[in-house]
Parts: sequence; C-alpha cells; structure tokens
Amino acid sequence: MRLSTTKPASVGSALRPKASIFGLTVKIILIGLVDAFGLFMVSQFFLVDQIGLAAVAILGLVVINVIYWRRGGLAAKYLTPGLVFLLVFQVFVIIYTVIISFTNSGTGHNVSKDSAIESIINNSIVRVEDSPTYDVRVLEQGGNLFLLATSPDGDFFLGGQDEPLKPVVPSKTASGIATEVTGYNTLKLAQIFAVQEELAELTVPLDDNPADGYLRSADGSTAFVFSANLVYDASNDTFVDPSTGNTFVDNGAGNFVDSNGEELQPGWNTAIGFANYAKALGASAQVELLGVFVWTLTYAVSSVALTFGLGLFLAITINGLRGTRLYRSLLILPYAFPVFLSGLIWSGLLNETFGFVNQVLLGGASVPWLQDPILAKISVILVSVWFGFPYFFLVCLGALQSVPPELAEAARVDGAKPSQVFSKITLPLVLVATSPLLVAGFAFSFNDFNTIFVLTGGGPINIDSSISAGATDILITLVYKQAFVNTTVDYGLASAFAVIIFLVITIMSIFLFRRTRSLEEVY
Amino acid sequence: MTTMSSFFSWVAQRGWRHLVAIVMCVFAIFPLLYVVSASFASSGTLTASNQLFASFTFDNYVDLLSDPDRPYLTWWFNTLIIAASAATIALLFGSLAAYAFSRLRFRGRRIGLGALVLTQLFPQFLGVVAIFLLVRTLGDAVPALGLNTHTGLIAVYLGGALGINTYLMYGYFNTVPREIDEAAKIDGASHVRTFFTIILPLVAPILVIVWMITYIAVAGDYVIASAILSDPNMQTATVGLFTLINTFRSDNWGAFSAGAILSALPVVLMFLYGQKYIIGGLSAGSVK
Amino acid sequence: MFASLRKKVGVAVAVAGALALSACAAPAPEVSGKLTVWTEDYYVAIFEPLAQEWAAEVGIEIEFVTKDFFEMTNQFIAAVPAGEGPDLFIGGMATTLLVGNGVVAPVELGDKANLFSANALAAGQLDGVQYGIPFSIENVAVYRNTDLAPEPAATFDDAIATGNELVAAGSADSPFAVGVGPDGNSYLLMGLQSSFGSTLFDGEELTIDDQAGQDFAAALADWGASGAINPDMTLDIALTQFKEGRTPYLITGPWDLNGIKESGVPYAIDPIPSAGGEVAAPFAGNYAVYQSSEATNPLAASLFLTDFMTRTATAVGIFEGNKTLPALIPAQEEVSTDPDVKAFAEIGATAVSIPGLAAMDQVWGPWGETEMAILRGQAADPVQAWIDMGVRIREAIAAG
Repeated sequence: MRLSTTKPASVGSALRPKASIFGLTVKIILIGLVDAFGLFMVSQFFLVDQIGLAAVAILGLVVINVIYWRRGGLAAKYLTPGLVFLLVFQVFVIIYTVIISFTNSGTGHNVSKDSAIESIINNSIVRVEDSPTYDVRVLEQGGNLFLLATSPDGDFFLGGQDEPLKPVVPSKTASGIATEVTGYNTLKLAQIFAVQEELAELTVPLDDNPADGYLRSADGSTAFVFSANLVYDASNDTFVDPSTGNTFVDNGAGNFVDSNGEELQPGWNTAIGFANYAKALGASAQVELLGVFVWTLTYAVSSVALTFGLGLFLAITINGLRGTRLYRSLLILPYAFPVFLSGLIWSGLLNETFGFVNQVLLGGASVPWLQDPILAKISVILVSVWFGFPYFFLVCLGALQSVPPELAEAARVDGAKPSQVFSKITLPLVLVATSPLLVAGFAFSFNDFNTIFVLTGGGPINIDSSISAGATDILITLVYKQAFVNTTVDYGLASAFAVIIFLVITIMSIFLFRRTRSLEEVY
Repeated sequence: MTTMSSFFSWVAQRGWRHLVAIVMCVFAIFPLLYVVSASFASSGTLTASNQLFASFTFDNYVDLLSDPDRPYLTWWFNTLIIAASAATIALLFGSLAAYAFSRLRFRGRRIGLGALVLTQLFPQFLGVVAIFLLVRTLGDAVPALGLNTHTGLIAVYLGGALGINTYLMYGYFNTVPREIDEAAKIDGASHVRTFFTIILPLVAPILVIVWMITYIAVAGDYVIASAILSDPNMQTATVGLFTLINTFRSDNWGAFSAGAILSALPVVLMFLYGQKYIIGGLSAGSVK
Repeated sequence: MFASLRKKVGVAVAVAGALALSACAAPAPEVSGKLTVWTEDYYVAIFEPLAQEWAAEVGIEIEFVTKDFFEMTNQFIAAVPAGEGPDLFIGGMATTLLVGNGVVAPVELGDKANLFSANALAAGQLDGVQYGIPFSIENVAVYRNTDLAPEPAATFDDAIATGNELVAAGSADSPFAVGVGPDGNSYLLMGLQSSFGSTLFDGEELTIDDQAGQDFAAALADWGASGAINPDMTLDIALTQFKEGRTPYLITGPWDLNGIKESGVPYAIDPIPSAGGEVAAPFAGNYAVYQSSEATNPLAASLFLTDFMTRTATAVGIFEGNKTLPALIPAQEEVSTDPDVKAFAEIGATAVSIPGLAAMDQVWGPWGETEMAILRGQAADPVQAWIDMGVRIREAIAAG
C-alpha cells in the first residue's frame, strides 16, 4: 500500500501549534534576505541612474511583502517565488522583444546615436598625406597631458589639448630626441598605461588654425598629423565635409545621408515604427509560405505524436522486465548528448554516398535520405523522434507511477482484461498527467530550430523558391535565413518574426488547450 | 512439447517485450557509438569513416584535459554547478506553484495555468537579444546578476523553467488524493508542513524526473549560455566544446567527442542512481 | 500587533542586509590594465605564447578568450557597444562590416605600413583609413598524392581522368576530393569557376551570372552527373580520404598542411588545374587583427598593432603555427625556403581578393545553394538556374 493514512495524522499531531516559532523565524529570515537583496538592488539602480527600474523594484518589493505578511492569500504565497523569475526573465523578455521589433536594431544600426557620431568623428580623422612623423614623449602637469614632440628636422615643440604646439628647449637624448622640459613630468610607459584613455583622446593643434591639423599619438612614442574630413555640427545635427561643403543629415532611420543618398557608417539604433512588420508580413504574403507553415505543423504534430507514442509504449513495455534498469539507462542515452552533436552524427550516418546507413546497413545502397524532398521530411521526423523519445519515456515513467495500483487491481478483480485495464484506466490517467506537455511539446517542435538546422540546414534546397525555403525548412529556420544573412543580422526583423510566430502559436495552443481541458475533466 | 509451448507463452508474454527493448536500445545507442569511437580514435574525424574503433588511443582525453586554452574540467564543473542549482531551485519553485494550482482554489487559477504555458510558447531562440540586453542592464546595477556570471544565467533559466515544470508536477499532484491533505489539516499541521513533509515525499518520482529534465535542458543549452557567458573560465561544457568544432578547420572532433562523453556521464550516473526513486516500490501493482 | 512586530523585524533584517551588501559592492574596483583578445580556438593556440612573451616585455597583462569561429564576429559586433567587448579582435578580414557597425578603431602604422604586402593591407582599409592589420594571406590549392598521381594534372579534365583510372583500378575511392557537402562551398570551388573567366563583381556591378559564369554552371552539372565532384563529400570526408590515400587530389588550404604531413601520405602542392582554359585563381583570404572602438586599453591595444604585429619574429612565429604566408614582407622572405609555403605563395600570386563590398553578403547564400542544386542534378536547366541566381542576388542587393 502506497499511501498510509495513519502517517500524516501522527506527523500532524506533533505539529499542533499552528504558527511555530521555528516556522516564523525561518520566514522572517527568508523574507528579510529577499528584502535585503531587493533594497540593495533598488539602491544600485539609483546609483546607475536607472530610475525606472528602481521604481519597478520598489513596487515588486512592496508587493512581495504584502503577499507574505498579510493573512490569507495562500495561493500567492506559493506562486510568487517562481512568478518573480517568470515575470523578469520570460514576460519581460517578450516585452523587450516587442520593443526591439519596432527598431532597426541589427548590423549597421548597432550602437546609440551618440556613439555613432563619436565613431564617425573618429573615423573621419585621417593622417594628412605625406605629413611628417614626430617622435614624442608624454608629459604631465597639473593632471593634464602634453606631447613633447621632436620634428624630423630636429625642432622641439610642446602642446596640449586645445593648446597649439609651441617651440621649447628641452633636455634630449644623444640622438637628439626631446625627453624632458622643466616644470613638466615625463611619463614612463607604465605611467602612460595608467592614463591611456586620456592619451587616446589627446589632440594637439599644430597651430591656431584648426584646419592645419592635429598631432595625435596612439602609442605614446610617435605622433602623426591628422585632420578631419568630416566635421560634426551639433547645433544642426549634421556632418559637413569641409573640403566640399557636402552635408549629411539625419534621415530619421538611423543614418546620416547626403543629398545623393550616400550613408555615413556606422548608423545607429532607432525606432522605425512598423517597418519590420511590413517586411515580415510582406515576406509572409508569399503563397509559398503556406507550404512552409503546413510542413511546420506536420513536423510539429508528427514529431510530438511519435515521440510521445514511442516514449509511452516503451515506458509500459519495459516496466517490470528483468534487466529493466539497464534498458532504461540505455534508452535515455540519446537525451544525454547535446542535439547539435547527435544531429551532426545523424547527418553523417544518412549521407547518401558515404553514410553508415547506406554503406553498411543497406550494403551500398544509395538512398537519398536527406536529399530527396519527401524522404528528407521523413528523415528529420524520425531523427527528431530519436532526440525526443527519452524525454517522454521519462515523463511517462513518472506518470505511470501516479496510476493508483488499486484502480487497476479493482478493474482486474471486476474481470477486465489487461488490454482493457490499459485502455480504460492506465492510458486515460497517463494522458491526464501528460496532455499539457503534449501542447508544450508541440510548441517546442514548432520552433525546433536545432534539429532541422543541424540535420539538413532546411535543405534539400529548392532553388525555385523565392523565399529560399528548402524542403525541410520550418518557420523558425526560414526566419533565421531571412533575418541573419551571413554577417548581416537584423534583430529588429527577427524580433518582429518572433512576435508574429508567438501570436500564431498562441492562438493554436489556446485551441489545443480547449481540447485537452475536456480530457482533463475526465479525471 | 511442453517446453515449446512454455517458450511460446514466454515469447507472447515477455519475450516480445525484451525484443522491443533490445531493438530500441540498439536504435538509441548506435549513433552514439560514433561518438565513443571518435573519442578513442587518432584521426580527429567524426563520421568520415564507417569503421568504428579502427584505432584506440586515450590521446583525445589527455589533450582535452591538459590543454590550458580549453579549461575542460572547469567547464565540466561549471555545468554541474549551473545545471544542478538551476534544477534544484526550479524544482522548488515549480513544486510550490504546482501545489497551489492543484490544491488551492483562487481567482484566475485556470487563466493562470494557461498563461503559464503560453509564455513558454515564445521562440526563445529569437528572444536571445532581449535576454542579453536584460541581463546586461541588471548587471550594471547588480554585478552578480550580470553578463558572465553563473548566477545571472541561473536566474534566466529559472524564469524559463517554471511553466513546463509546474505543469508536469500539477498533473502528478492531482493524482495524490486530497484526503491526505485534509487529514493533516485536521491534525493541525500547517500548510507548509503538509507540503514539505507529506505531499513532497509522495510525489518523489516526479520530483526526480523534473529535476533530471531541467538538469539536462540546462546542461545542453547553447543559445542562452553562449550569449551570457563569454569568459572561457565561466562557460559550460556545451558552449566550450562547441567552439572547438564550429569551424571549417575540423580536426578537433576527437577532443570534442571525448568532452561530450564526459559531459554525458553525470546524467547517466544520476539516472542510474535516481531510477529507484522514480520507480520506488510502486511497480508492484502496475501492468504485468 | 503581532503582525506589525513581524513586519518591523523583517524590515530591520532587510535594511541591515542591504547595507551589508552595499558595503561589499561599494568600492567598484576600476583596475583593468589587462589587454583582452577575442579569437577562435585555432588562433588562441598560435598567438597566445607569442603575445605573452611580448606583453611581459612591454609590461602589461594580456588575456586570450576563445570564441566560436562562426559566431565570434557577430558576438564582437554585439558586445562592443555594450561595453562587453575585448580590446582586440582577431579573425578573417571583415573591414566593411566592422566599420559599418562602428566597432573598430582606425590605426595609423606610419612608415611601418611599407612592411606589409600592399594587397593584404588594402583589405584592412576603408576609404583610405587603415583598420585591420593583416598577418596571414591564405589561399587554397590542390594537394596531390604523389604515389597515386606522380605528375601534376595539366587540366581539371586530366585530373579527373587520372582519378577515374585509379578508382577503376581499385586504388582510390574518389577521383577528386573537395569538401562541398552538405551545404555547398563556393569558396573552395572559386578556383575552378574563375578558370572559366568568371568573376563576381566588376567594381560594384555584379558579373557572376555572365557568360563565363554560365559556362561554369554547365560544367558543374556535368561534374555532378559524372561523379567528378561528389556533393555528398563533406570537408571531413574529403580530408580523411586524402589522408588515407583513397583519393589522388584534394582542394584545401594551408590549415590542413600539418595534418596531412602527419598522415604520412606523400604529397605535392599544385595550382588548381584549369577547367575552363584560363588560370584557376582561388580566393585570397586575409586574416587580421582589429582594435575595438571601445577598447579600455587603447594604448596597449595600439602597441599590439603597431609594435607586436609589425615584428618579423611575431609573423614568423604565427607562420610556424598556421603554415600560411605572412602578410609581413620581411617574414615572407624568411619563410620562403619552405617548399610548401613557396608553392602556396606562387599560387597565391594568381589569387583574387574576396570583394570587400557589403553586397557580398547577398551573394554567398544563393551562390552556394545554386552550385549545390546543380551538382545534385536538381536543376533541370543548370544555365537557367545560374541566371535565376543572378536575378535573386540582384533583387537582394537592391532590397538591401
């Protein structure tokens, strides 16, 4: 007998005082720790000027304290620990993705506008052609950096940030390189390392005319003459090329462009409204996409159904056999290796010319397992079953344990055949415990990027496809191809696709849930 | 004649089940033999040869464990720590939530259950940018939750694990008769006591299973872990190993296979050990 | 009343704890001073010992971080603006992309620019500004098993004829090995394609689908049908077949040289035999070091580029690891005694640079896919498939 009714009673009677001192102490300590951490976070958010996040954190803390210190509201007390993480790392991520989907975030629009301007300014500073190389020392006075420069002609100059070079009389080395000037402290390499970020910013004008250029030293020992071929005009928010007068203006989509449409790189990250959705839905308008969608559904449904069916069948079949422990341990092995590894192995095994399956198992046949469009679809489903059946095997093993043996026993006593016991008692109970997982499993397979991508990359290729959809491409691998083209990554577009797929699958799942609910009510 | 008929009846009752078990075990294992073979091979390729175990050497294991640029042992322990912590905490949170959904009746219970699963339908693969930005922002304020920290990564996994785990346990909790809670309540046990000392031991099989499933999912994750952990000394085995082979210079397969096998070992050992809790003494009355 | 007491105790514990945590975290240590370098596994092993020696000499610390080859460029682009990137990045030349994302800083080599091969240096420039400092010039060639095929093949057809004889005689499994499977590898096939006179771009004008390209497409269909090039052959299988003496020819780069030497197969390095009558010019690929635009150690990073990377000893040291022609001219002279390098360098002299256009990103995908479909015989009319590919690429470039 599994469930002893006497045991809980005896345990319970030992605990008669309802709110034990021990329990209260634990509660105070735990909530105290949470509050401590929460207040710490709030203070840190303030320190880094994330006022909005600080407000959210305060609100969260208040809610948590209300939940745990008020009487009643028991459910909330049990749900809150998990919900906190769910809200922050799942719900918030979804919201964040929605936000990204309205931006041009991605390759070429990867930084803030300020950094983009800074980058353009830095990149526009080029060495003046045929200009001399100066030997320099980095000097310090009153916390400011200076460059002591020896020109190729053997003249000596000193200058600092916005202080043009002026001739000086320094101490110098035997080879005639200036090393020190009285009143200034010459920095050694180790000291220069300590101020390297300031040194990187240091531009010393050659003379009072900025157009003549600046001296800059990247390494602290040599300096070159630079001038800017673009000047940023902060008041108009434009870049001007001083030699041609060509003006680049903010085009509202994250780039400075001139009248010929030439863009300055880099661009920046900015909101672009519904453009990504227009693009995503434009791509979705293709009739071909319907085929991909149908295949995605077919893949998800057959993969889950077969995976679950096999897992359940094995869990039942192997139960109680001699050697069952060994069988079980071997059967979960596929699950213990990462999908991308076993996926590569399967793609090798199924190689038409060289693979183990054709060469060894089928004695040199050339079955195009992953090359024929139809066969490739069957192959990916079968391999996905290999990946997934141990999961459902484990889950069903657990679910089978929840079937009260008394029920089956009673049915048997009433004269039910073993097959009837299974179909009328065991199976419905197992389904009750696992049906929600079937929905989740469906959602997982629907977005099962790894299996498809590692096994076939979406292929075999269909070069007639206008959207590059291969025979085994499911929606998510197709999105990947659209939003991540080689080194060009479009996070905004990917996010818009993510939101669309999320909506589609949510609607389908709600429909499926309606069905499973009726299942659940059986119990 | 008698032996024949008893043989046939054995086949009919048990023999075919052994046959199924053996066939399925072969199906499960034979692709993995390639990994084992490659880990002991000297050639450094994975599937280029159909001759398994053509050569036998421990060089790949020695390479893997002795190369300072690939701190495999560190990766291995990182995986163990991250996956075990995430699985344990997720199990605790998930079982608390499942208990609430199973035993308590409150407003929004149905919707809540549904919403829990709906959040899991989001293609996390495409949301990884948002996860990266979120963790970075948190890390600016609280470095321990930021990029390149195990705690930050564990926190992300905790957020992702709740829905499915809760569901899995919810179904199981429902099979525990309510009379047990009632009896405990009458005896004056607090709900916390009832939960920890009475309900949890009764659902031990599902706890072990959920723990293992979470462990395996976390240990096998590449997408999130690689986005959050960039320092090789912080990485998990999956991320670290993948950098060995995701290149056109594919001569690392031997070391990679050795690493994959060592990474799978804890899971296999845990299952061997955990089986008795899953099956317990309960199979006595099950299908025979 | 009891409830309110509980609240007070709780709040007190909370505040004390928060203070304790803040105290621990308060003096955020701003000490960095450590140069961080991101690169793939392969180059960590090659660079690290050399760079550590240099760093000790200069008096700084340097740390190498192993990144995933295919992910590292995108991770670098994502990490730099987030302030999570390294000081230096070592990878294949990607100047247009990296500058376009604002993640790399300009470098001024001064007179040391003259030390570098001009073509390699040019691949690290955009609009006349130097960003990437090249260190290796890489191209593919044909490795020939001198036992199976004692003489270099004059043309690709000769090579296949020799290969087929060997296969018929049972002394080889494949007439010719090139790892195109399973997803296509236009980089490796470029030599054969260019021997038809095919180019990718003329300036910014797409030329891949001109008559020369179409001729290549027709030839590709024949090769696929006759088994001269097997689309099922992966990099892994191609290399293994060559190392085991089961194929007379293999197209690959210098990165496989050490492995092939170890296998003991007698080999020679030949130019890719011409298939279309003209010189079979493979791609020239350059590897380079870039400085992050957000480097926390700009001086140390810039010293790495202008000092460490311009030393002959560094370039020779890298060569010992990757057996690839150095971009630094004094180092080229020093390693030119190595016959394999000499062979690669001579072939490299004919090589064509990968176009440094952003539009190239739209080419790789359709190009490799179409080659694969033609090899597999999935394109009813290979020439038409090639023309359609051109249309797709143009549309993609226009869409942007």
